[in-house]
Amino acid sequence: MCGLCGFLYKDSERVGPVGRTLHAMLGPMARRGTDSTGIALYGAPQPGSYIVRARIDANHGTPERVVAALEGAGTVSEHTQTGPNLRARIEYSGDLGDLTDAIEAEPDVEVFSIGRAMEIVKEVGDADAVEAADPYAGFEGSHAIGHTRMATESLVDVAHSHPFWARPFPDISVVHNGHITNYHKLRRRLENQGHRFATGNDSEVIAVYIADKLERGESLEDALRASVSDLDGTFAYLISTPDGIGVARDPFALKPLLFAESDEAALIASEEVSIRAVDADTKLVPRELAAGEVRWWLR
Amino acid sequence: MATLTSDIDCSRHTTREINQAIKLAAADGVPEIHLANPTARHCLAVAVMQPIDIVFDGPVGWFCGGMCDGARITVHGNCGWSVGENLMSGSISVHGNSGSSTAATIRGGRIFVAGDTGARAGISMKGGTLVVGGSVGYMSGFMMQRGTMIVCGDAADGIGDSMYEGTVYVGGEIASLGADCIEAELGDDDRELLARELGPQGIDSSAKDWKKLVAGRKLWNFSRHEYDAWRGAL
Repeated sequence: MCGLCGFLYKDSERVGPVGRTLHAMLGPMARRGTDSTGIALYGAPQPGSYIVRARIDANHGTPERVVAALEGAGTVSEHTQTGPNLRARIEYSGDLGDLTDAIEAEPDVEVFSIGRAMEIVKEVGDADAVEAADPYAGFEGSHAIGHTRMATESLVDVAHSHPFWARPFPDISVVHNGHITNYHKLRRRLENQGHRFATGNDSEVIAVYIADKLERGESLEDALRASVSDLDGTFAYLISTPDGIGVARDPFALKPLLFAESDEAALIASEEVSIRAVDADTKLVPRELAAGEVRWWLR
Repeated sequence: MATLTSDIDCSRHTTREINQAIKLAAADGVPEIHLANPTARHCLAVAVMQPIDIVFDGPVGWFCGGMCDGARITVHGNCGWSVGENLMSGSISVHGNSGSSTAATIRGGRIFVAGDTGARAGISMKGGTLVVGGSVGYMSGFMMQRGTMIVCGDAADGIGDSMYEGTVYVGGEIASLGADCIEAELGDDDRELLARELGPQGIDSSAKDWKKLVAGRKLWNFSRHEYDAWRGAL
């Protein structure tokens, strides 16, 4: 099991307390996954600059050398470190894969995300553990996706926690519940096209798979539909882009996924209890996705 | 603990406290118990073994009413996965939608879902009756062994797949039949059954074009002469 949730304001101009909303939705999802928790949050994009989120599990000058590497690549306008978690804004016009390599040249450094609007925070433990390690509940933005992980393969550590950034594509990430049984085949195919992976977690391949299709000019709808037949195994997943959120469920409907929406917002979750955490007066009517169904919400 | 409780605010209690209060009330002969603010919490009103009316004013989560024997449960809202799993007797009425595996493995009693269900409704039913006012999801009626499932709306792919026995009625469109599920002739006794089951729910059975589905029984025993049927099932 793993728990998924997502929230999106439909109006392209609207922002709100998506951090607080996701924190509330993730609470009940802790029962579906106690190993780790993570969130991808989308704030106001700033053209020309990227936000880098990275974890530095080393000291002895490593944080300073990472910042120096950033400053060597572009203009760093701000950077803060909360425990091992680095957040920096950089004006940069080069290849994001090169920037990622420059940051990760230092040992024990992992880039969580690079995006114009997206910021990924994650931590071992529940949503409160994430909030304690790297506060996100005060985040104002347009949309967000979250995940609670019960690890059935790969390590229980922060690097293998969701969401996974579709490196090096900015602002695309995925959260997934299930197993991708043709993971190695898909990964090899994508690696042969030049893509790289940060972990051995099967969920990461979904992010890169979808991002690759979007990069080739396919619509989010087409990419989602293709994924239902191209991915083997069990899956319910949420993919977030700068413009919205897409969701898909495997053709056997083996993993739960519901959505509810109003004129203002769309909510997605593995279980209704997560939606009710922010809709206790039951104004919304959640519906389970059908087997093999895809949906998407664009701002 | 006082047992003559007839109103519970779920937001003030743990799931264990709620279920213990329901069982104590049922044992004390309380005729009806109302539960407010269930907020889609899991495992509510499970294994209640005495007749009592249990009313949830809001959505419940997974496994609501599982293993009950004689209780009558009403949910004013949605249900999550596996509502009424292994129900022995009594009834569950869901005035909303339900998740996957609705009425899984029920042995008796009656489950009514006014809206739609998720995938695998009525999986491995061993008795009882499931009535769905809306549509059912993928592979509903999978490995059904006994009992009756009535679907007033549409059935997604694979309805009745690998069913042993039992009867499925579908009033709407059927996306596809599952392995070894066949359509049988609808008789007067079937129409009487449909009217008898749907009337109390306010549904006019005569307004629908019913299809009756039963097991083709080709999967009961392996035969190399029925190789195609087995290959399709496996």
